[in-house]
Amino acid sequence: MARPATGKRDFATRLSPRTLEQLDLLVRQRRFGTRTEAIEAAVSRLFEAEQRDPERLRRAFERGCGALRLGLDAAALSEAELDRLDWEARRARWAEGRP
Amino acid sequence: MYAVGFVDAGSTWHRASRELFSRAAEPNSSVQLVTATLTVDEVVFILLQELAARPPYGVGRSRSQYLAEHPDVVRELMRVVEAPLADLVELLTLEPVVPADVLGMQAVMATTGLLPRDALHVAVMRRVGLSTLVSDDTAFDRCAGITRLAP
Repeated sequence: MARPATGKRDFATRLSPRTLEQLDLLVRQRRFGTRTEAIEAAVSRLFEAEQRDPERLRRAFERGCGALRLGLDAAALSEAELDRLDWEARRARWAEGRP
Repeated sequence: MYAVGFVDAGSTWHRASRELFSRAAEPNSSVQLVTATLTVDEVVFILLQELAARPPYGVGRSRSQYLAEHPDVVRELMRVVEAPLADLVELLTLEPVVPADVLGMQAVMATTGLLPRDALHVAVMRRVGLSTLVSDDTAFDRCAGITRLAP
């Protein structure tokens, strides 16, 4: 199949009515010239977001791993969870005007 | 638990967490760590509570209430938590909880008897197509199609 002069290639797909409505709204609002431009921008942003920069991950691992020394164990986690649940229950009672 | 274990060098889960996160941080790793945004709330709350229990605050009981009543302390503690939390989040893929997950949560609760928050985690997993979960909570074993990895 010959490619059109724009360098773009045909691609058939099906979109939900909601996605199509959103796409058309973006075009009507002149955020994008065409549906194609909007889709290309969306995929480009998604692609960027999905790329995981190995260097950034390595630095995050080096910095974050063991950055704190708290000695948390199962008992401490359970205690913290109960403390929070207890406070939330008391807060709900106060909101209802109960002691 | 694994998230807490990653930032807390003194945690009983630190060694296992370090190995897991290390694998996820490798270039072209086949391991990707995904969690619901709910997890961030749980992790931060636990870290704040634990820090509030230590000097100079030394809060022994009702730490949640103490934190709620002392926003200045929360601000102070967030200076300690902020950087490790940013690094933790960098290594995770966070999935939002969307309205459809509420229905998913109800379905999970109805079939497994899980409590809401755990069921919400499973609902998010199912929506995004995940089938392996890292937890020491055996309650997740009641969920068909979910494989649980324990430390």
